[in-house]
Amino acid sequence: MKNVIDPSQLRGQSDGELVRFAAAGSQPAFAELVHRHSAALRTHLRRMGAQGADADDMAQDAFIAAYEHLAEYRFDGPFSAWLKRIAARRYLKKLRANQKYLLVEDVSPYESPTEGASVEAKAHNLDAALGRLRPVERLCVTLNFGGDLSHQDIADELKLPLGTVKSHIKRGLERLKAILDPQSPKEPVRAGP
Amino acid sequence: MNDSDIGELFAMPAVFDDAAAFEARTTRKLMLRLMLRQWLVAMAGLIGGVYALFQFVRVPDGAPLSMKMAQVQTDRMFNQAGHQLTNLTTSGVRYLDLVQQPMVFWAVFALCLTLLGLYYAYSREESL
Repeated sequence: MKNVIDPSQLRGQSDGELVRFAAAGSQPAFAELVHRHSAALRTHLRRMGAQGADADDMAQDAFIAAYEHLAEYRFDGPFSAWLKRIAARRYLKKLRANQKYLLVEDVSPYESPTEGASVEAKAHNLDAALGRLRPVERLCVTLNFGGDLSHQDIADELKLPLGTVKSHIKRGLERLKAILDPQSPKEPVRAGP
Repeated sequence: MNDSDIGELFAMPAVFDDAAAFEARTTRKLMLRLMLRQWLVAMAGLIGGVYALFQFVRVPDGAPLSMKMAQVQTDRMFNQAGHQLTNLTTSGVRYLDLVQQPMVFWAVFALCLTLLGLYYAYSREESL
């Protein structure tokens, strides 16, 4: 199969077709999938909170894991969402191993490292705004909006109660809107510890 | 700003200057991994095949003694190179005898089981 596919023709193929070619052993088809989705995957990992080189390593591992498990892809959703889910699981696994207390419920006021920076300078900069959220809120919002996971899926992935996940997403969204849109009402005041 | 605006912002990936290098690294890493796996399978097949072959080879009883006698005769007839060749053959027969010991068989069997167990644990670890 891999010898009869012209790499220049792969550009016009859908993700589904490329997955079929790659599952049949076509490495150029998989390289085209990497070309299409690498930026989205690297961005997704960074928005979840992974740092530069670490995020890239995890993105690479996610691509390789995806290649080795292509037979498990059911074509029941976008390939990019499947990829992001694989990457997210790897990131969460690493988080659990290294930062055991990141995913616990905590409603104390959170002051991010960039709290004092000019809001105008950060306006419309999603990545900078995400950096000002509490880590667990950032994870929940990114998995929901960037990874297309439902609240229940996020609760399953993070092993948190559904209500807690909903609260994190609600609070994270309010805060994101307040940061990104200077016209929006002030952020709601949080309850103390 | 509403939720759909936030969704649109999330749909826009960042632009990376090193996108081409990242893609090349990813593809290269995948190729290397596939190649290593093929080599591992080939080497396992080769080693297993040679070991299995050893199990079929039978040296006649008293072979070490006859080999020793052959060595003595060779010493008289040939030079040092011939002497070394005979020593090599003798040690080869000894190794063959060792490989065919039940203890070695069970050691190899245990090693294979351990490797299978490790492979299973690794595949569980790598599961999606």
